[in-house]
Amino acid sequence: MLKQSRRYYRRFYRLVSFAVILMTAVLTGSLLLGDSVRDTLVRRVGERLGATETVITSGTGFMSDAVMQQPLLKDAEGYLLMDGFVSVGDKLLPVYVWGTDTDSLSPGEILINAPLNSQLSPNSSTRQLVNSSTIIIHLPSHNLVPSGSLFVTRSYATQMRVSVAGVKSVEEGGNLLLKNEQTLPLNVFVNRQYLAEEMGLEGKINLILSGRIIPEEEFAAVWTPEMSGIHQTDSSLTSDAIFISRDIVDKFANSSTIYFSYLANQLVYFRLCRMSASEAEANSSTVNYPFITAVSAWQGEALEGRDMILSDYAARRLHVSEGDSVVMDYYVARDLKNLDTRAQSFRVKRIVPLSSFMHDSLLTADFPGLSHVERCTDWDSDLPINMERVTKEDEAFWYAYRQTPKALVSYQAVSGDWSNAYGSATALRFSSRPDVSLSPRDAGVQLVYPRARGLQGAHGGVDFAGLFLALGFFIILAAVLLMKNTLEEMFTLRQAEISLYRQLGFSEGTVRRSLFREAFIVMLQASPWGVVAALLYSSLTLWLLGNVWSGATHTEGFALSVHLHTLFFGWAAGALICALVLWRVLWRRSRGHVATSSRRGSNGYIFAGLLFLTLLLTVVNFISLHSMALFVVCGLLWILTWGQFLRLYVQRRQSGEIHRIRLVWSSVRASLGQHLLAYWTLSLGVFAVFAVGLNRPDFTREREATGTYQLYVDSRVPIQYDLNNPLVRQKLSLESLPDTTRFLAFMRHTQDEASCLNLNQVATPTVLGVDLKEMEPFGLRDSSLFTLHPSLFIDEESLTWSLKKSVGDTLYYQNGRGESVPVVIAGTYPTGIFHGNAIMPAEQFRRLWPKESGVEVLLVKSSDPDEAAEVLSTVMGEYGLSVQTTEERLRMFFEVTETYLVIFLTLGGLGLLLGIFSLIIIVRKNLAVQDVVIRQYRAMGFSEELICQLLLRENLIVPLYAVCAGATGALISISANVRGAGYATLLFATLALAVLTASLVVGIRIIVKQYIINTETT
Amino acid sequence: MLCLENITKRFADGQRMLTVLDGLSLHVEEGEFIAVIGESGAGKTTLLNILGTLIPADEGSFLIRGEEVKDMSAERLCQVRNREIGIVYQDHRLLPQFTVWQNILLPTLAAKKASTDEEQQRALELLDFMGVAALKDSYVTQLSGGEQARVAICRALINRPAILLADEPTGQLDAANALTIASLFRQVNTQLHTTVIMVTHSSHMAKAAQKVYRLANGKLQC
Repeated sequence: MLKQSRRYYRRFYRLVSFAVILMTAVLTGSLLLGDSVRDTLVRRVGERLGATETVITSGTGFMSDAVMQQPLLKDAEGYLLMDGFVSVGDKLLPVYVWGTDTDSLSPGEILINAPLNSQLSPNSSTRQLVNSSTIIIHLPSHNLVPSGSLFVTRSYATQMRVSVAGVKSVEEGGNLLLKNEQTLPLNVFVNRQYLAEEMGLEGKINLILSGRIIPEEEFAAVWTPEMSGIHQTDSSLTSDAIFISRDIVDKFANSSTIYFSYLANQLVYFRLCRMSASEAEANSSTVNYPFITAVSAWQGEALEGRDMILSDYAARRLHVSEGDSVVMDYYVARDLKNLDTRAQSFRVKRIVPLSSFMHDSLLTADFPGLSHVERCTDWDSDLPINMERVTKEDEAFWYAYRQTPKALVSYQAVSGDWSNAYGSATALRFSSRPDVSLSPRDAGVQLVYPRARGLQGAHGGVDFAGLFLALGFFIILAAVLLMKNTLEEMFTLRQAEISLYRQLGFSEGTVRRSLFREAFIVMLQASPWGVVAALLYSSLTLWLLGNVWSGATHTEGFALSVHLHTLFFGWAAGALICALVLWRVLWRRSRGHVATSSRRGSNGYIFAGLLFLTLLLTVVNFISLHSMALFVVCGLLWILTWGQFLRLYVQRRQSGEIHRIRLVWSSVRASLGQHLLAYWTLSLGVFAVFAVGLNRPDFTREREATGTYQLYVDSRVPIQYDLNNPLVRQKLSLESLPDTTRFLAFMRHTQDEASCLNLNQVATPTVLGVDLKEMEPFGLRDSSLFTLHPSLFIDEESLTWSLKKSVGDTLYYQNGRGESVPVVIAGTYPTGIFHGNAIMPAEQFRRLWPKESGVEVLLVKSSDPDEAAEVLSTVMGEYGLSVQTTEERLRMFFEVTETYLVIFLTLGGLGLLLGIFSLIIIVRKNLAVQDVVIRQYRAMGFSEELICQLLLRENLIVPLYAVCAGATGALISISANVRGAGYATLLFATLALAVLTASLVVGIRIIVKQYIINTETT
Repeated sequence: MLCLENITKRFADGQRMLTVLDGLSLHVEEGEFIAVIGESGAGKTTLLNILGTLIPADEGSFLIRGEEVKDMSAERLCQVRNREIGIVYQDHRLLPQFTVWQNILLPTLAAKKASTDEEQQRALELLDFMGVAALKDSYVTQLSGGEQARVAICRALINRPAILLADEPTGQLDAANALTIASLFRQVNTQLHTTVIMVTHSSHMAKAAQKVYRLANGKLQC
């Protein structure tokens, strides 16, 4: 019998099946999407790490490739890894250049990975090599001596002309990447020896990748300081990097004599104590640009306070004797090689033969650009050396003694001024073999285990299941309503049948169970098809995410992952919802209409309360808070309020004066539940679509998003200069920059991309170091929290979505020594051009990563930003500057939000269509029971037009009311940012609303007319 | 008042046409109370629908107060149905979403947007006349069959129609209620001077009428 009933009412069951399939498809599909994206991220971890389990990095320095001879590293590979860039047309492609020994590459040959091949030759397939087999790679000039130190100056970038020998596949490790990102890197693989020779780094590596987990202690056991370019003997310690880090100096402080070689401006001896400036010139003796070495002791004799030991050569030139005072002028570097001149007066403690200085090699250091030149005039340094002051005598000294110091001064007196981020000594001398030893960390060597971190990031990444459940929620809701309405319509038509069952002696429970079984079997039969549809839905969505909607993920190659437990869970959840809907429909039907008059009074209070709350929140928010989220809540409250009003108004419509419109309301009252259902479906649908469609936050108009800066400059090569300094502009040929051009510079500690472009959960976002006062225009307010701990600020979106943390939480960064340092999230700032970056006070940044000098991010403000961009791109091309307007950068981030909005609009629009479809069923259902009414109207002399009008009003009044409530609710929700929507969007929305309204009117009119005609013909 | 001459009405029955009324003629004077009886399927309801101008005759002439129905415009037909004719059905056809009061006044809204005070006064009188004044604000689903029948008569009479048509008005009532309703029809005819045409298959009900016609083979026999 059940089978026969199902067959007889197949018209309804087809619709129910459709709704079940749709709901199960969206539900299960969303879960499949979550699995697929997560599995894709996990797969990407495998692709980018290959077999790598342990990463050993040398920090900012280098290691000797001899370390690879250690048995511990026999299965590991040493790399010389550089950040470089390739220019293609106007575009700069940031690339990772991997110097490797494993690919049997000849010098000058490179392998590239498929994504780079696609970028270089977008029209060719990934299997095809780039058309031009020769490309130029720009690399920052690395050297053993840190380029941020004061004495180093040179071209900051170098170029390599190489030929492309092939494409390295994913399986061969072509997509090797150590950062926790799902986007495919652009990789270049080059012969390591060749790269090292080009960079002047022969025999050096800066990265070791091992396929097994190497505990830090095991590595420390085989590591020697020599491997990191620290030359330690029983009597001395020097470094390839010239400067010896403060940590090492401190470690040996009690057992060593400290040496610090420095190029001073001059040594001056004044003969008279009181004189005018002109007299001082005439009565002084100077030695220009002498190398001076600061020492803590000399030949067993401690130098303290203002002690100076002068060479006989300098004493002769200065005409001084022991006990005289000599003034030493020298430059001190502040940030970005901004120089200050300092002068200190020293007492000549002793005068010794120059030869005694010559015999101690630790007194000199090999400064690049200074040490190995033939003449003083060939010196190349960031120190502003006035060559006119270099005398023939100076040249003669240089010719004979090179950088032999002319004097020794007390280390205590100058160490504060001369120490820099890279170290506080140039040599250490031991009187006996020291009993302390160095560890890899002292040399900046760090061991990282990226797989666990990568997998954690992938598993904790953006929850696409939740995201698409939210995006597709309205479709699910609409499908549930469609299911409910169809079932109600069917059971309404079967009322006589149900009554008959009761008359025949069936209990209410028996009848209900029988109907439940009849309908639920149909639902169960339909739900597996929903699972099949879910596979199609998720496949289509993944394809869209990789193509049409790639703006949301910036990722290609999403692959569908099908887990049986997910399919089962989706199916079971769908079936459970079906059972609940069906049970509720049957339960309500058996209960019938319950009189609601007793609740009228309370409904009135509820309405008044809701209206007051909505207006209060809206006004307060409009005047002071301006919270977008609160406006959305206000919009929803508005819909709730008018839903309540509808209920109240209809219930209060009683007998009394008889008017046609009252008849309409009486009809609405008779099926209030259905009409309220129509109201909620339509008003929420209209609200969702229009609120999202109109809510276009216009970042570009937000002052705090850009801080009023016009250009955002990203440099692949750290810039070691203050570009606001006119002398620097002159030095770098930037004089053509508009005079009004001002720069705000940021140091950068590169970590994981934490913007919305990265789908992985991020543990440590990239940190930008800057003076926090400069961040006030970006809405970043200083907080007392960060004076207690190292702390940072992060934009609101990254904090919530990428980090999944809150203000006050702690992140753990590795400092320059590889130690895990807790850094507190002190606050947030509005999402803008720094989206995805953490901001840290500059002094704390330098303390954590002292060797990461130079700036990599610049903000530019200029009266002519186009001209400034042009000049910077042209003149500083070798730095690999990527110059974009702040507006472009904001749009890049906005594209992600925009794409998600488009997805929501697409799915919401489908849901709205389904809602309208559901509404049509409600109308049809209402009309189905109006057959008698129509006939009676006709019998009473109502004209066809009047009948149509009455029925149309009856069925249209609530939908139109719902559209109005939904649209006004949407307007309230966007009132924080109405202008952001723009006139064109508002006009489009108005037109869309008009079309929707017209469609409703026309559609319902057609249905009503059809029903009237049907009753006429029958 | 009503004049039907040679009325023929056919309905399609599959491939062939079924003649329900075959040259039927009937003259009804003002104030008459006529009953039409016949077997089920004889065409009583069809005749009533033609009299109520709800369906047109295929052939023949139907005059209401001398005016040919088939020449009436749709608007005029509505007017006639609303002003001249009141109909009471077997199932009463009261609208469940409205109260008794609204149901009774419903016909007054065909020509205008709201009912007048005079019409509402008339409704009160009719409710009183039919003995259901206490049920004014009740919903029809709360009424018994007999009460529904009285409300249906009130509604049919609200516009003071000259003709009251009744289609098996007691078909769903028990014997006691049927007699009461029959008595009410008689009162309507005698006290309100309304012409009543009632179709029924009950000879007991037909006894209330002044004239009884039998409908057989598509024709009326006295």
